[in-house]
Amino acid sequence: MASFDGGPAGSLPAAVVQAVQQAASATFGLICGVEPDFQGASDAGGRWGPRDGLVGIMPFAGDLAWSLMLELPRQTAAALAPKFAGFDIPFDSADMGDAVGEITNVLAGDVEARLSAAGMKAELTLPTVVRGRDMDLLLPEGAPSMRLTFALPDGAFWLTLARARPRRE
Amino acid sequence: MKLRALVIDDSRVMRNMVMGAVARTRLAEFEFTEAEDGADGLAKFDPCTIDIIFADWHMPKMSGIEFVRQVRTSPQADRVPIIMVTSERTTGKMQEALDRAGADAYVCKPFTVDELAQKLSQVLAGRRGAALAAARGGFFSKLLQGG
Repeated sequence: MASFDGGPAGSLPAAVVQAVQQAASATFGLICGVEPDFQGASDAGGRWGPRDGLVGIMPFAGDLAWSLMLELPRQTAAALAPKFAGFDIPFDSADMGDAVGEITNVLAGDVEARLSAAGMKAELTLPTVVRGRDMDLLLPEGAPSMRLTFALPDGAFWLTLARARPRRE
Repeated sequence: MKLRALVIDDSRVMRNMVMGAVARTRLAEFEFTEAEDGADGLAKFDPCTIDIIFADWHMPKMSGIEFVRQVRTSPQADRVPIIMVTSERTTGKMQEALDRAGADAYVCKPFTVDELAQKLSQVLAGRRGAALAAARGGFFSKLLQGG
């Protein structure tokens, strides 16, 4: 059985990062007909957020408390949502938030299944979607985090992972 | 004659996607009733006026799986097939829905029209589909035979 304690420094388990990366390829590949190009990972730092776009946030419970955040700039969201839904969705409509919530949901469902297959219990909850400009999303100081960058023909998107801050021993 | 479907999902976009895909299966003409969560679904569900149900899993107020459990406690509602349409894709969740709660089929999001058509055909050809056909005068038996 794999261990998912994240190591002594409370880093993100490699199995979680791998599951997210693979789920992103599969999910966006299905939606867009082409898999996204993974362009690298970086520390998410304490604050981040889109200059103009949406963020779908899915908290996970189970063996590990962590969150997955899908960040879509306006251009990417505007191109992606109609491909997912099969009909036009204006960027400023309520349906855009709805569609991004569902994409987050589908992505998280794929992550959950991959983690389950690897022996890690991860329970989905309800996604939250934020839309705005010049947002700063603040992660808890010291919370292990990672930001994965992907590119699609329609534009870039990011997946940020953050786990609960490890308790002091 | 139309097949009367109840579509339960807290996402309006998803309800439209399900209704559009179900209609595009061309297995029947469909008439849709929409519900925003399990509680709303229960309020709108009447086994005399609903022939088939499509339900999401994660919803506020009442989840889809709780909705299925509650529907299956009613003998009158037992003939109505339920298809779960959800982003939950683990084997454990599928078993929970199909083996323990009483759903008839399981479709993972995102889905294609072909996938949905295949599951819908299987459900209509199954035990509850036969009961439904009997209740609706054999309409669905003819449908499945291409009549």
